[in-house]
Amino acid sequence: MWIAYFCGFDGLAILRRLKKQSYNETDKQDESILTDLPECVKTADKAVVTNIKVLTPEEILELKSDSDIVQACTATLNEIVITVLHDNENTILSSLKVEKEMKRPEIVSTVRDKIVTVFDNKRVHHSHDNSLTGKLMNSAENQVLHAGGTDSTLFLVEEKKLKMIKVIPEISLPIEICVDFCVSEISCGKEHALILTNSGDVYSCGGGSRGQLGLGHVETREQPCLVEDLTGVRMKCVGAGGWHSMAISELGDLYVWGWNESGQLGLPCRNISTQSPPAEERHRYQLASPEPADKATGTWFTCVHLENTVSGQCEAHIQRVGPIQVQSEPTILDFGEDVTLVKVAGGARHSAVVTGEGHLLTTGWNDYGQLCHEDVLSRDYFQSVDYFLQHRRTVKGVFCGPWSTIVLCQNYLRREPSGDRNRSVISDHCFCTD
Amino acid sequence: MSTNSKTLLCILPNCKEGLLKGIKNRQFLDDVLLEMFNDCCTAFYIGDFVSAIELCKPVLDYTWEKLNTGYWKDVDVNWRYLYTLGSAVLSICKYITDTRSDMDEDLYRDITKTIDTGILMGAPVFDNVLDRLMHAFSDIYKNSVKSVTVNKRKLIDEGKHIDAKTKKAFPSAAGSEKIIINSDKEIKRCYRPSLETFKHQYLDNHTAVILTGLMDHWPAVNGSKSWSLDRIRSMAGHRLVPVEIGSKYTEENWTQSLMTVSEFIEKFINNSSGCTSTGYLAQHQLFDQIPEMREDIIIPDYCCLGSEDEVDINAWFGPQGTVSPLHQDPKENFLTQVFGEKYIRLYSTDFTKHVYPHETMLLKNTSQVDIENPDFERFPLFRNASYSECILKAGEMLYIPKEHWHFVKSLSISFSVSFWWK
Repeated sequence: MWIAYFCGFDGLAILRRLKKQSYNETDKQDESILTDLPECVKTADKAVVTNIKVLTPEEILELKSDSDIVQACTATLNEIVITVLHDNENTILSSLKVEKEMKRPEIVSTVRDKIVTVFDNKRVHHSHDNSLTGKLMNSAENQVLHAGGTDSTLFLVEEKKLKMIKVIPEISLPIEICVDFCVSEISCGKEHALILTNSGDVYSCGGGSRGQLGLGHVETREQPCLVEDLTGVRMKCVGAGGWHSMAISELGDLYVWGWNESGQLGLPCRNISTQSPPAEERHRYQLASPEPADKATGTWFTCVHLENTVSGQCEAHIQRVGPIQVQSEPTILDFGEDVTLVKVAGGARHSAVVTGEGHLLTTGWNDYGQLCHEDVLSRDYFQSVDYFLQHRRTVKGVFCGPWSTIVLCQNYLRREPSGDRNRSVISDHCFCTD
Repeated sequence: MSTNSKTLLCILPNCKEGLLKGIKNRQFLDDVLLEMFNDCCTAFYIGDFVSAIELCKPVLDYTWEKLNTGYWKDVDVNWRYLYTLGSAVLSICKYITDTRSDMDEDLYRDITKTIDTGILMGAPVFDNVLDRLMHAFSDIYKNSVKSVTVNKRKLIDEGKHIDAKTKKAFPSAAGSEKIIINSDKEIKRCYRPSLETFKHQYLDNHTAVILTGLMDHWPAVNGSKSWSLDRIRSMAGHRLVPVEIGSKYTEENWTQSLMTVSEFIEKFINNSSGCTSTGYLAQHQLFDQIPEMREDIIIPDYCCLGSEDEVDINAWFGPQGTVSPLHQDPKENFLTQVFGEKYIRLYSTDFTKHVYPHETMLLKNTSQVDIENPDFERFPLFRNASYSECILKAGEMLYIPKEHWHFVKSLSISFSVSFWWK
């Protein structure tokens, strides 16, 4: 059984509208609302959320059968789209209005504040006026394989070609760039794009003023550039946040680079760590600078917030370096010996990773509770999320909206030691990020 | 509602539609943001200040992200108007929802931070609404019972440990560095030249010169209002300013941070927390932000020799050891020392090639050469570049011709005011 949870900013009533769409609580005469979500898909039966900060993970979707698959998930500040495959039928769960009997889009993404959907791998739509398919923005001649959007530009990946469509001040004609690699994944921040190739290389392009391109400088690059520092290892997935970048190697290590102003890289940062922890709270602070402390930067400490956790299994992975504001070259994080990472996602100023063990770890800006730690304290270190450990949920996937986190879990209790091969195949390949 | 609250509300337009007019053009603002701001204003104008505060936050957070996307100069100005309006609404809500009968220091500090962030990130609207609000809050605070007691106590406390280091009114060339000026290369001094003399001998020839005797009438320099750390704290202590942290802006560890003037003085000038990095309140238009300080300085008469009316005035305040690496500016400059001393070296534009400017867009006005430790192997021509230098003392004014390369290092706690004109 799969469950999806939501944490973070909901000032625009996403959760209420999500529930409304699926339960058809709107006017029954409105034919355009999707009325027949299959029985297997049900959304949470909770009270209407009026809070702008969702601190405790809120159930938004439940898939009863193990053969159901979450195909894709994407979110902006005020909208969510989740596509589900059930019995080869397509189901879309969205806070936006979905046309009845609409096909499932092959690709969902975002650009600026809109949701982008691609149908038949050719027709590219963006949301408009509360409708998911809103307006057609581009009809491609060739197959669109992947899509990703920054604050100004939609990137469409075709075979050996990259198409860039500016959406502000209005939708412009695409600019095409030919590339000599095959793309396996694309992930975009506010100004930059990360591209993962089939051979495990990472390319980046776009704005780089926060070092998010990982090329050792803070300049802009219009053309995709190879991130040289990562060429020694094969990468298996990438995730871009607002102004930061992350990649997981096939060995399960996390590499991070870009802006760290709120600790989103999981590295100590000035805005959160301090050189003079208050005396009466000293016991809650841990060293967050290299030991012995670097003479130029001095000794820094970060406040560790594990006191309210219940499961007893929470960990805080403090990296002893810095403090760092801008990391312009990829650096590897230390999660301890036995931890391998399998999924990564970035929000505007926060990050989330999933381990092979099924644990979720988050770091960064937390003013809206997007880190899922049930508080609003930002962190500059990855900390495991107690909620899922407590409730014995195995985390299998994570997606981020700008100020939110969507967590995909499998019911822990159903993971039987007999190791059902089918199930493990599903859990590895059941969804794509963006 | 109290009289104070009414006064504050009168500074803003009296209805939602009036406030929204502050946004000149909505074309570039995202619908989702306009929706949030609309909800916020609705709450504000029906008197639901508690909800308005809640709703203000995402508006400011969203706008902040837009202001940080792409190059600052490319950001549509309407985002900045929105940031100003949001900050104005938030500051008033914070005051009104504070249930205590009097404004205490913590609330004043918090409100000042909100307004200053708005000033720094936003753009002026409704006749500098944030400045007017700041003035009103400042009056409310000065009149509040709590502030009178706190300030009395503060003056006594400060009198006690009056920054033992600065007791001697900024000792000259203190500390480990002794710089000897080569008399061949020393920039000449000239006492109060007439406008004509200055123009013909220095401005037209692009020749640097130190002008003396021109700051005697500055209230900042002489008289009861002359600037000391205490006086600066009393005029600007709570105000938020951008501080550069790190050895110099060409280094990797360099970063910018916002803090109050009092925090800056405590951390980087008095160094009470044992901080090892250098902090520099550099190139900041402090005098636009704090009118009281603007009154203590006088724009040099010679600026009228330029063709443009506008003079950019910047403050440069920091401890001993702040460095501005060799760079050039597009305008003529009068660099004045209110207190403290600075070592300055100049290279004329004849030697632009010799100083190897960076090739990147961001840093093309900055030299790659480290003046204090030049790498002659990477920069061979640098050996042949001739320069002039000086130690600029309190009360002196250095004329730096436009585009002349200059390197500046403070030799003591220092407060400089620069006037850029054309």
